[in-house]
Amino acid sequence: MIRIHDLTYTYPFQERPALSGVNLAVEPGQVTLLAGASGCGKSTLLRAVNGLIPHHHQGRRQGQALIAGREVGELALGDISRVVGSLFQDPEQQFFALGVAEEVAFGLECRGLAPSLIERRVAACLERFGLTALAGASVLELSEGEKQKLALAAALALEPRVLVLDEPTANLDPEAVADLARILGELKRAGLTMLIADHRLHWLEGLADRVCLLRDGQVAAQGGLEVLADDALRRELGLRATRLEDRRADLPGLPFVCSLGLEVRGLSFAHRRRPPLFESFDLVLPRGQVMALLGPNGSGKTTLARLLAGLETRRQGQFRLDQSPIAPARLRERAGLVFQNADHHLHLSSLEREMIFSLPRGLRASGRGRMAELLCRLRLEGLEQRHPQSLSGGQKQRLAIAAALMKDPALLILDEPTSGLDGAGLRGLAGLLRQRAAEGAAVLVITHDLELIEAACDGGLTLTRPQEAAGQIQARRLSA
Amino acid sequence: MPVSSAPSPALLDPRSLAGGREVRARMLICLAASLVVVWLKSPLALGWLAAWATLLALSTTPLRLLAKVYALAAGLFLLSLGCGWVLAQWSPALRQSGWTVFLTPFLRVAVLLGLTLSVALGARPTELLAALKGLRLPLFIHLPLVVMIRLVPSLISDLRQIADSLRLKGVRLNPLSLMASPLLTSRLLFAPLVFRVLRSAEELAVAAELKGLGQGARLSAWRGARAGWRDGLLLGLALLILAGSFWLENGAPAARAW
Amino acid sequence: MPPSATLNPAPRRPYWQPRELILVGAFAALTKVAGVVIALAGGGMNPLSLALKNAVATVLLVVLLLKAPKFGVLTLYVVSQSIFSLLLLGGSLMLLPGLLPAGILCDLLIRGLGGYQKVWAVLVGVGVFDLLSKAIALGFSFLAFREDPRLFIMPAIFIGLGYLGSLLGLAGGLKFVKELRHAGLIRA
Repeated sequence: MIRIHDLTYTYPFQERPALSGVNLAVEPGQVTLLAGASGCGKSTLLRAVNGLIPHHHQGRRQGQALIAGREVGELALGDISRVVGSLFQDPEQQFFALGVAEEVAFGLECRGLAPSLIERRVAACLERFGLTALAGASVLELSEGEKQKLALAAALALEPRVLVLDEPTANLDPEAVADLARILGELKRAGLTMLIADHRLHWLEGLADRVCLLRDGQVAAQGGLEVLADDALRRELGLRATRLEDRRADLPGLPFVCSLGLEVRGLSFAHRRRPPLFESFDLVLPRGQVMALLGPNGSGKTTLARLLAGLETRRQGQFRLDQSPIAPARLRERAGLVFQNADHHLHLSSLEREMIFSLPRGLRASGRGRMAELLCRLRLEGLEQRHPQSLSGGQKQRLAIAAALMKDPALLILDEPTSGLDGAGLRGLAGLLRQRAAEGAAVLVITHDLELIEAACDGGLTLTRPQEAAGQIQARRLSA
Repeated sequence: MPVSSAPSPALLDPRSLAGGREVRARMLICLAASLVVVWLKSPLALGWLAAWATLLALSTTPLRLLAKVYALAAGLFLLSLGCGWVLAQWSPALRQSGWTVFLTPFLRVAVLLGLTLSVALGARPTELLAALKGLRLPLFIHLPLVVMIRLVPSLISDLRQIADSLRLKGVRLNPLSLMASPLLTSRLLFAPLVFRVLRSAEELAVAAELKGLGQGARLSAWRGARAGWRDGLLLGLALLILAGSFWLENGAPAARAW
Repeated sequence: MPPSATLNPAPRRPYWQPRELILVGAFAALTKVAGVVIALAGGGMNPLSLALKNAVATVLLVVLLLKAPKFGVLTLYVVSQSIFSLLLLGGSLMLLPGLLPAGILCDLLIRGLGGYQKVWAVLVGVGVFDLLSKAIALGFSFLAFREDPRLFIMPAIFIGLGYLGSLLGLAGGLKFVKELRHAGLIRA
């Protein structure tokens, strides 16, 4: 179904090829996993299969990419997409419509199908993915798992025979990952051919038939899933674990008191014109520990992080840092918060300016030493004059963390820091969090990533949705 | 992957997505009225149109908001008159008298405000998208409009996070700081948004092309808002009202008295 | 393979590509959002926020023309913005009949000056477009307020301030284009 022959591709204005002499064959109904470190060429190979190369990304291309026996360069992108469906890491970025049903219909409208046929296909697709009840909802209201299902439904509405998936689990919690694996298993049994690029490997056991490992744009190894059993090769290629234990239920809970750290007592908060999200909520984040903040979408994890960073105004509640009361405005000075999307943190035209600007105004003149130390620690040294937007995704995220650390925060909060990180990046981040905790900071990390929880977290707190607790959010202290 | 084997149209309630609320009729009225008010001079004719525009606006806009908008417009007019009065002390040519001279331009603006508010606040974004679909505009006009409506909520959310990041870095964001350092503040707020938009536009374009957009096939309009009896009624009424304004401008006995 | 999945050779592509149209829509949305945010942050109709709003709009227009360098993109941007303003922001379509020829004229001007790959040609084109659009706005204000010239004073001041902001935006646009080059996002 997919044949790649000696494919070499170089992006415009680049000198180094992103793919070099790649050969790959995927038989009909087979599921093949593409894995490798960030920047190894996985996404580029998927683009060569779904026709974005050469139709959307120009550049230098040699070799062949055949779909159903036809060279993709000789076909129109619209025709390729009748055979190949695509799914990306962040589904929201690929939604064209605001409504769920309209999004499924969009591709069919582009094909000029009759409205009555579109109506039938949309209904069938929504039903198949359990989205019928959400047909009239806005795409912006969906959870990440629902968004991914919707993107899959929209892709399959076009009835492709091949599906390429680029990091489909990057933003999903373990339950949504399991759900996705189940759906893809059903599609495989129905005969769909799949090519999946992902850093997370544990969910593919029983789904993937073959593995193709890439290193610097070249095939490093190919074969059955047993290829991944080689620990040394996995480590060398910066891959993540193939088997994981869900430690969430075994994580120690947060302490009830601490002498050094942040204490929150009697916190109440509600968004405007919404029912209360927190009522009489207590929380203790001790210095020297990395704590995980867990819970489903809508349970208030990000809101709690914003409250702890002094970005939201509480209705009631007291905050104490190292036993002393602290006001929200002062919390902003003592807390570092890194959002999931690092782009939101990058405001200036060079790494150096970005770092210095992160310091309070009075300390900026003397901040160069600390900047050099942090950039070195986060493997960004020598890039001081680069524009932050010219960095890779992983580098941007490290820069956002480095900038947050410039003011030496007593509390460091990270929101989903591992989406899109390879094994090496994840281990590096885990080490950094542990090191920061060892230096005396309280670290809170909002995450769905079981590997990060295993590698870095000392304890955890799970929030539940307000409606699940009869209108009141309740913190479940795990095995306290 | 045949997914069309289990058609169950009843699962989708068209009313849940039914949109439009005569958006297209309102747009057309807005365009026609924009041209007519420039031509009209009589406060009576313009007052007639302003009353109608206010009623139309009230069908979609809360009274308090409408009152605020009209009060703001009146305030700006009075400010203009104040400036004019000051200048008139030096230039006799600027001296005018009579309240109708003030009233006519104000009524023109009131008509336009009422009509545009009735369009702007008359439909949710999903309804606007359905209305646009129903217009069957060429793709090169339709697509940018759809993207604009689609991206506004995302841009607002991005802007909030960018502002939060600045607050964490000790930057104050308020009217005073904007006035004190306008260039720096706007750079800090909007430059990340430009980069974000460049990235979002690229990703959206990739997704659209992969779904077959722009490959020459004519887009079909599934659930595009269709013109209904309410559109016809509104347009008919608009025609009568506009005709009435012409009569008041030229033929009505009352018009001669002004 | 079902009939819908037949693979045909690539047909001739239409003049406008989705990525250009999407970029136009995205920048038009960004300009509107930025304008509203500045107006709100500035506390209403203060002169500085008026100028700043226009400056930001000009910077964004310069960037758009360099990112989607194709004849007609300025005109398309103007049309999209006008319709969007009507639909969501209560703007008037009244200026569109004037803005449309102004957009076409400036698109022609940019092409005549060497095309959209030349930064200075884009700057001249945008500068002239800003001037024409402000002149059209002044003309409309005069028509709307012709009964009392005193009422024309405030719109004239606002529009003048807006144009000052646009001039500032041309300088800002030049600087920002350099930054985008530094970031590798513009090759012009």
